[in-house]
Amino acid sequence: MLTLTLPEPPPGTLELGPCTPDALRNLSAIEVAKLPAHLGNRPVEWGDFLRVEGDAADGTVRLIGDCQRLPRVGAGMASGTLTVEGRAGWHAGAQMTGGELAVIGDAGDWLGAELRGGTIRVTGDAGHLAGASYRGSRHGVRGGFIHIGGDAGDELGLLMRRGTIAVAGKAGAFAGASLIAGTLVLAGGAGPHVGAGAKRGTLLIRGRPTDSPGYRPVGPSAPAYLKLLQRWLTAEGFRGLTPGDVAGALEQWRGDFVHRGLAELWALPV
Amino acid sequence: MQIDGTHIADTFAEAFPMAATRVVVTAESLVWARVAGQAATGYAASVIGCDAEAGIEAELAPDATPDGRPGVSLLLFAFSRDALQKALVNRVAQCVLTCATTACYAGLPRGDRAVRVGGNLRYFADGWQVSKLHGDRRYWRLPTMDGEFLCEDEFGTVKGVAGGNLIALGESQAVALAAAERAVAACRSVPGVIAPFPGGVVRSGSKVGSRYKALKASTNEAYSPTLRAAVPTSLPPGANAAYEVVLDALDLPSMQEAMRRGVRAACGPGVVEVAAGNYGGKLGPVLLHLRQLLGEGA
Repeated sequence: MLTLTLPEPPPGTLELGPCTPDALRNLSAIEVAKLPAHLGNRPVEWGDFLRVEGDAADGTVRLIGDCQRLPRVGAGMASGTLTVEGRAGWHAGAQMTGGELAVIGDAGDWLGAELRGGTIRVTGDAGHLAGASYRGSRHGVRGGFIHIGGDAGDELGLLMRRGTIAVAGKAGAFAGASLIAGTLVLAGGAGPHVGAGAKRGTLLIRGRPTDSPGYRPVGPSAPAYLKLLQRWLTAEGFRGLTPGDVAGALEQWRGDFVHRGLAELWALPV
Repeated sequence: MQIDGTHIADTFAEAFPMAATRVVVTAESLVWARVAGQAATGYAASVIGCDAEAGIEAELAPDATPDGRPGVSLLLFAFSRDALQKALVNRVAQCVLTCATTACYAGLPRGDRAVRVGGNLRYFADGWQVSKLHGDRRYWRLPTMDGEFLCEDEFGTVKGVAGGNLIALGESQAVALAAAERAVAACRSVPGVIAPFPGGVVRSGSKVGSRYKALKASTNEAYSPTLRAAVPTSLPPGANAAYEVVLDALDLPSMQEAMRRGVRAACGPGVVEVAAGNYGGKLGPVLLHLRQLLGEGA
């Protein structure tokens, strides 16, 4: 296991470059300490800020400390396990294709943006645009699983195409906006305009949707799939959904009829 | 060798490989899960005349199923994976998809020998099907008149074992049947084992071939009590009825354990002998000697 300790937050944004188990797997502690980085626009080395111990030969990396000013930690990761013990900065786990990123703390904006595979677990809150598409891009999450233990910001899962995002707390405005497909579980409820412009996909939200005029009521339904989903999420460590939430029939809507109207939305009991 | 006064014949069954899978069917109630399970495993006694051999392996409590509803697990066996897929797709399509409130899941890890079930059935939804991926497991949701049918995309298969059997020979039909019933219950207590014939019991044990060219199998007159005086008989003195218990298993140890329990359970007052059917050792690569299974010479 490679352990990277950040004794104190850097004075500005510290761009580490690739910080993934894949990129660090074949490097010794000394080589890791000499990796180039940028503090703002000033060239520095990892060792100037991080204490480096061990190696990542087993595909496991621990990053300890307040990493809020370290963007793109775990971005592009394809395998292995990266654990951030402290706050994670912007773009953590963005465009991951595999492996597992665990953040024991909060995460910044663009968490898991355009995720393609693998798993991201955040015990605390996530910022805006988690699992979203980057500006000008056609798709957000295209696979994998994002599990947020706290709240999430606005535009969660924007243009999501596949995969699952589960938020135990409350999501901000425009969660699941322009959803193309995939599954979004908002167990603590959501702000306005949930599922706005969605084409297909599945949304579970706590309470009735507000400000979603493009959705039409279907009536109560109790598909076995919701029970399967609840059990799978629980097995994955998600605590936002209980068996009681999906035990009976839930009110269902279809929308957004400004598009194809094939997205399905269920209201979890409050 | 004797157990509880019953002679254990010095003979063997022949085990041979078959493609096998486990299917988990759930429903809103155990009643409907059973209905689906019974329908899906109907007409599946022997691959001599059916597309597969199948049976209900066990009833499952809600906490043992993927969706937390009551269910049943089914085992299906066929000569090849292609044949297994065809039988499975047809049976799930006609007997599970059609059955009220059901869902259908793979009961074995997918591995590299999977057969596609939900991925074939999805077309029934005529474009309204929805795919969901949980980890590496894909599910298909098909709208139906009571809501939707949920079916896993691919089902794992294994090289299972067929050919296990025992024959209970009793002083009377009633005694032999009671022995067979005890044996079936004991065999079915082993996970991964089914007895695919009606009630787990075969009254028409067969031999290979027939005097009629069209038939692959015909009655085994050597075990027919009513022909005892007319043909060379395999019935020991005092035996006036015989029932066979045929077994399929997901692996050889399960088969061996099932036969061990079955033979022991069959023994008792009035049961003259417990034997086994074989083809002279020419059919299967593994011979299941009754006495070795029970410990003698093991």
